[in-house]
Amino acid sequence: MDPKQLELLRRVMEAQFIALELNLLLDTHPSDERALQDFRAASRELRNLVATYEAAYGPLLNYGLGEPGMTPCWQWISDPWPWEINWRGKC
Amino acid sequence: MRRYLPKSDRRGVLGFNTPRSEPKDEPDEDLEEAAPESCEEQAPCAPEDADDTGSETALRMPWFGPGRGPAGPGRPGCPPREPGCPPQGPGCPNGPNWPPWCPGNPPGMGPGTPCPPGMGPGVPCPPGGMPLATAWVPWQVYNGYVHPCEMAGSGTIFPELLRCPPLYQKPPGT
Amino acid sequence: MWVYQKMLQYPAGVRACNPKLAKSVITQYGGPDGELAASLRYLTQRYTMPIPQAKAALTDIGTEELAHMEIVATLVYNLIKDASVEDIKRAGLDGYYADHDKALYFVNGDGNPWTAAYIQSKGDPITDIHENMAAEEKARSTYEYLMQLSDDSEVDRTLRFLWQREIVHFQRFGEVLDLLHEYYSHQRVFQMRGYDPAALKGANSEGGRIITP
Repeated sequence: MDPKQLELLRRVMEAQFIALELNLLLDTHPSDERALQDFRAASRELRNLVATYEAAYGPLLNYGLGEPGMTPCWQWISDPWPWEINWRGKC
Repeated sequence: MRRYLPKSDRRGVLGFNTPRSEPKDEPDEDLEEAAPESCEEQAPCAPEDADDTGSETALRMPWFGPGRGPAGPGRPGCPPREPGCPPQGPGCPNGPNWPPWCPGNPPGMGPGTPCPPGMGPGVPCPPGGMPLATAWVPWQVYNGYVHPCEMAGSGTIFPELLRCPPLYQKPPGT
Repeated sequence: MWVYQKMLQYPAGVRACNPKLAKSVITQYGGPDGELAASLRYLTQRYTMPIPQAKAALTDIGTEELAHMEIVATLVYNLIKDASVEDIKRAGLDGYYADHDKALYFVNGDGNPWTAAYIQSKGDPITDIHENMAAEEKARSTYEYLMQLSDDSEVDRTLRFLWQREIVHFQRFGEVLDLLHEYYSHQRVFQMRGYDPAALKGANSEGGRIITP
């Protein structure tokens, strides 16, 4: 995976982590105004980053939820899959 | 801290008697006078500014015990700060001044130990209103989050939940 | 319904091939306190929870545990994928190799297969939440032991991420427990600063205020 794609994916993963943590917090704190606002911002940020990534490198979500793009082939199947990504260049 | 008490005279579902008072209908009613004494089992707490939510003092998290100063990169078990981390990412409430340290393990609630925020002398401690044989976990009060980059990918965006492994250290000499 | 995101929750990786370490780490894949057990436990308990906060928390945490299972699988996969048969034998993985080659399988550190006996879904929500809190603590301890066993810095940072997640999950389940106590005893036994009781209107399964008897 080229470094730019790796970097963008890392940012998507970070944004997803923020949204996930706030999601879990809101499940038990459903009326926390500040958490709700932060979640809305985090969710928007995540969706923007996902859109950027998908436009360049293909869908991140299956079952029609990811952006399929206009490339002539079905990009969902393309390598590398997440367990094959080499983050630090070893083994 | 406000405290709601049951309206009925009956024993609760769990079969215990809790202290009763007149039913309160307005949530905004000030119940400070109704607050019972803090339970005697509660360890004497160091004075804590319970309303301090964003200042430097709160950030330094004094409840991790006296003598446990800020730890940073190099403290065993703590991750180093990520290089190239933006000084103020989205949602990073404290910007470049956020201390990149990993707090030590919280000590037990012994005498002289500083209390977590929201608790302290005069504050009814939760076990005082709860029956025996009931587990209870303190409620997290949301106070903003820190970008994962600032937390060196440690596994949470809430500094108050950040810990260093091992969570419970054996006492010295064992 | 589940949707898959084609990325790990955390950039897991390994520094070097190490089938011996894989033999230990695999316990968090298919062992008693591993991520499969955690996710199936939570996802199966959520059907009989009485309050929406519990249903949501169990669904979301159960889904996150599937993501953790993927991370552990990534570690095991990368630790053994380039091992030679000699390395496999030296690591004591001959039995596993004979049955599975270098594929992933749901076993614990000693090769015992996963079983539903590892989990419980008792039906009593308070009991189930206590089971879940215990499960998070067991997983946390297992990650501490694995961190002691590991000499791979990349595996260490991944294990530390997962270790921290267990603590956060424990906190969430503790909060669900408090909400359940409230639900059962129809009273607020404890209220923290910043938590607005009036806003719980509509948040319980009856759709209205919690009515005291």
